Amino acid sequence: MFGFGLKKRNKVDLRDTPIPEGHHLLEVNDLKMYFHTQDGVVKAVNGVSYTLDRGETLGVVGESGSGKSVTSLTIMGLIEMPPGKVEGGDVLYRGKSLITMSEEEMEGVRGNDIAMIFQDPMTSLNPVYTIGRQLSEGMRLHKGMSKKEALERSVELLRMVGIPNPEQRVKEYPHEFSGGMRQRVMIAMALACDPDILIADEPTTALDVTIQAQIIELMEEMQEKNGNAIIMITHDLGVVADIADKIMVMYAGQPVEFGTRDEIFYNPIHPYTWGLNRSIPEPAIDEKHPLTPIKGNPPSLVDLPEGCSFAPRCPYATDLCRSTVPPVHTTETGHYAKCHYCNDAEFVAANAPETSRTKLEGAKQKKGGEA
Amino acid sequence: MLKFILKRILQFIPVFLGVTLILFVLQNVVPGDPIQLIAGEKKLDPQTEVNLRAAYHLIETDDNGAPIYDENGKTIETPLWKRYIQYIVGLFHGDLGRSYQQNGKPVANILAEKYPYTVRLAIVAIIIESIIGIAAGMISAIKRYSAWDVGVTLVTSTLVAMPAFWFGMLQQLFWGVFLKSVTDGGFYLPISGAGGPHAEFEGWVYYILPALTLAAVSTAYTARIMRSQLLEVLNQDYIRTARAKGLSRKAVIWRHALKNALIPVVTYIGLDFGGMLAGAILTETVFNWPGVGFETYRAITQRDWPIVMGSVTVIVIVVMIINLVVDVSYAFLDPRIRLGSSKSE
Amino acid sequence: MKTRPSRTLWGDAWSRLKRNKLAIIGAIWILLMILVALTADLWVPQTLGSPTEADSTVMKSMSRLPPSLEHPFGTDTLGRDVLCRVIYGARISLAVGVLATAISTLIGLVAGALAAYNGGWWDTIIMRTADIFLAFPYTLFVIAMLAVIGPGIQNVFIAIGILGWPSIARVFRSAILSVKENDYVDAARAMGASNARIITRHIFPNSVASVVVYATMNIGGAILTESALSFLGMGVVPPDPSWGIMIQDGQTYLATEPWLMIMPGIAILTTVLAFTLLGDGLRDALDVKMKDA
Repeated sequence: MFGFGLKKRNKVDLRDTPIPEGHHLLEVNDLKMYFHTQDGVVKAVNGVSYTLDRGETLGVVGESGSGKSVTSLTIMGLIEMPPGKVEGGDVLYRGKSLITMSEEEMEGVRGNDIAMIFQDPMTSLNPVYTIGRQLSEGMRLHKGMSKKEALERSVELLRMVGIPNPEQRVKEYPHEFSGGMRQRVMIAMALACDPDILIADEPTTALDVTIQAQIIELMEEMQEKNGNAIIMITHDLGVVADIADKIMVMYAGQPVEFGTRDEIFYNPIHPYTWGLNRSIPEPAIDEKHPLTPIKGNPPSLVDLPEGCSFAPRCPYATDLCRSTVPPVHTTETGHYAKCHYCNDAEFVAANAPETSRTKLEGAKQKKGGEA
Repeated sequence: MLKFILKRILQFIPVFLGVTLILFVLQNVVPGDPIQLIAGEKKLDPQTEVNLRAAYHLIETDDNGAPIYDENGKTIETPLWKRYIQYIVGLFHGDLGRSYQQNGKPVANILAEKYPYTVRLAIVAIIIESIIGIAAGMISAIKRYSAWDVGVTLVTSTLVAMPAFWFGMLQQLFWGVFLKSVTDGGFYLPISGAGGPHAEFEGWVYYILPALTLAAVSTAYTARIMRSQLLEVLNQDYIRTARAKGLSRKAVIWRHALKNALIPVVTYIGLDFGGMLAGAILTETVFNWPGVGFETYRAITQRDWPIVMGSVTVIVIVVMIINLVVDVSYAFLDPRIRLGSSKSE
Repeated sequence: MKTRPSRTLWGDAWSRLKRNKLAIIGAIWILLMILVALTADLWVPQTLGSPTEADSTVMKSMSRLPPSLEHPFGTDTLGRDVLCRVIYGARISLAVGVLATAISTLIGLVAGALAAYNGGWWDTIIMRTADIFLAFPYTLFVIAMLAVIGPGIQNVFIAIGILGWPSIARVFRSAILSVKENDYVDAARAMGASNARIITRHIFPNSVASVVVYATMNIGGAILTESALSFLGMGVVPPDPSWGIMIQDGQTYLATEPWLMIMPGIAILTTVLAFTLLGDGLRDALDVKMKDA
């Protein structure tokens, strides 16, 4: 309504530049994001590392406040600074640092090369503008489309994400859509510019269970079509069980275990991951497979405990855990965990949840059957 | 939409009746006989008094307006409820009664003379309020915690804590008295609505100080509401969505935040305009402004009840209409209200 | 993001209020005004007397002196010390502010509670009445009311007090309704808590916060209204030293002796500002919604 229109940036999309030799699509190296508040320094993200390639899906799992959302908002450059401040580490997208990039360049990346969808579809759309207008915006900005072209493409996108009668719906306002439909709109909006990476921050948490599966399926389907990478952030290990290639488990701002899906599900080596595994409700909960919650609450990020952050809640914690920060143990497959005892095969064998190994057996048989 | 407007009008009827009834009762419980107020010091002969009572509908009259006498040859006092009904019926014919003073001039004519001054002053004030208030509030929100923001907060807090009439007098002191003496009469602003209530003045300079005074407090409120609304909107999830789309901060503010933040501000300004049309008694008194507020105040002090009654009636109707317009425009701005919730689940 | 040590609503609010410098300045200023107003008789010379008490020659020689060491705010037409009158004026302003607010809060609380609890017809009638009151232009309404019941300080309390109830009633009613809809009230009800217990233990503490904030700000508003009424000659009756009357007296001498209207105006400004700052601070400290934002 005012003069600040959407002008196309006359720049090459980063997406079209080749990934330099020896680099991945996205590399996060020891990223640290601290918030300087009245109560002290909140170490929201404290040394996160991972890599991601096209077509891959990374699951980031953790409780609320574990820093999983802040990590991805940092990648997007959407953290207000101050109070936030990158205290170390880097994020490389196609070999180019997103942390040192200018705001203007970053605007060319957001929504174009890396897109994001958020937890609550009910509040993530502007209530006073039509769906069509909000969908068009990114395409007009990044692709330099005219209003008409963008609107036509919006209709296509809506159809693609499974919204019936898109020609009509595109003229409607967010409050006329149901929660599941709005999340479909959000996905359409994120995919509008055909991004390299789609970050989904708890995309199904606010939705009905029946809708959740549909949304996950839609994201997978879109990934197959477009070949983009997905970072799926969730507090629910079950959500990423089917779609993630790699999983990072976060606790108190740090990754405590990272590995392939199979490693995390069937061969987890960190006690926190065991706890998460035990917290997934099984179809048959009985005495042998009890649903065991993790006791206690995550620590204050201002005042982290000495030693291992998980020690106060860890049933196996020793004096070593309570006094010394554990080192990172990495296996030859790249599976790593931050625990003093995770390379102790005996300890792992004795304490890892029963379910994971039985599942492993099942999975092997299943895989064999498919092959 | 039409249904919405009709509903609002229906809601307005009991409020309107309540307001006029309270006023009507108030004026009739006031000690003092209207005829004495009309006559003042003069002595009236009995026949004139009866005629006056008939003319002011205080006693029963026949169709020709001649007083009716009972068997004892006395006039019959019209009961209060009947006079109230007569008043309401009169309203629909544009008859607001007649002044007790000013030679019984019809109240409608008096108000018609005064209203233009009030309306013009209100329009100038509302323009000042909208431009300065919205701009100041926006900059404050965008540059939160900056020197500008602190300054705006200080100025607005001070303005709302000041008596408006005192602020007006300070303006007179500075623009009228101080500047005049400093520039040796070279430059100053007029500090009064020029003479008595019937003075004719057309120069726009006369509007500056009264309009600034009238707008001062409202401008402060507008700036505060604008600031807090914009800050609140900028915290919303959909702003983050827009940023994630790659829109710049500026584009997000203009394209996404502003419309949402302006809805309550426009509502406030609209309601405030209604309040200003009600006549700014204090501003008009300080600046000797010949508007409806000053006239009403004068009528109250002189117990010229028909004028009070008439002007309040008109004021209440005007305020109601403005409120209705504001509600309708609110619905127009916000699709959630405009389209109702019929399709959402 | 992080866990906080758990504190009560009011303890938490107090710790947040302490950090708000402006609110503390406001509170200190108010306390100072109250102290001065209460002890004025002990140390401030009585110069509020009626003109007949003053010797006419003294009056003439003392009339409208500019500010000096002896009379920091100057003297008025009747030779009275303006500073002393400003100090005594604090009594009237504070009394009107507090008492009028008390009256409207009391009426408002009862009306709001009745409307919110009983709903139905109670709600309709009370809230429609409130609408009628609010439909009047406020200043006009107060003036009209005082024209009927006559000027004087008691009538000022009553007029401002009676006309202020609808906004308090609205605030309290909506506060109760929003609390009533909260899950923890449902939970308490489900656990079999009695109505009285729900009201006293759950609804009242949570809705009273908004009323406290509103009442604090309302005191400032009442002081402004009193000054306006007195300025128009419909409020406090001379020789009582109301700030509004002093400003009106000073209006005549605006061009020659401006301090006559400036000083009482500053008194009003600082007092109202103090209540606004304290109210703002309380609002930020008590607003449950904003607690962890």
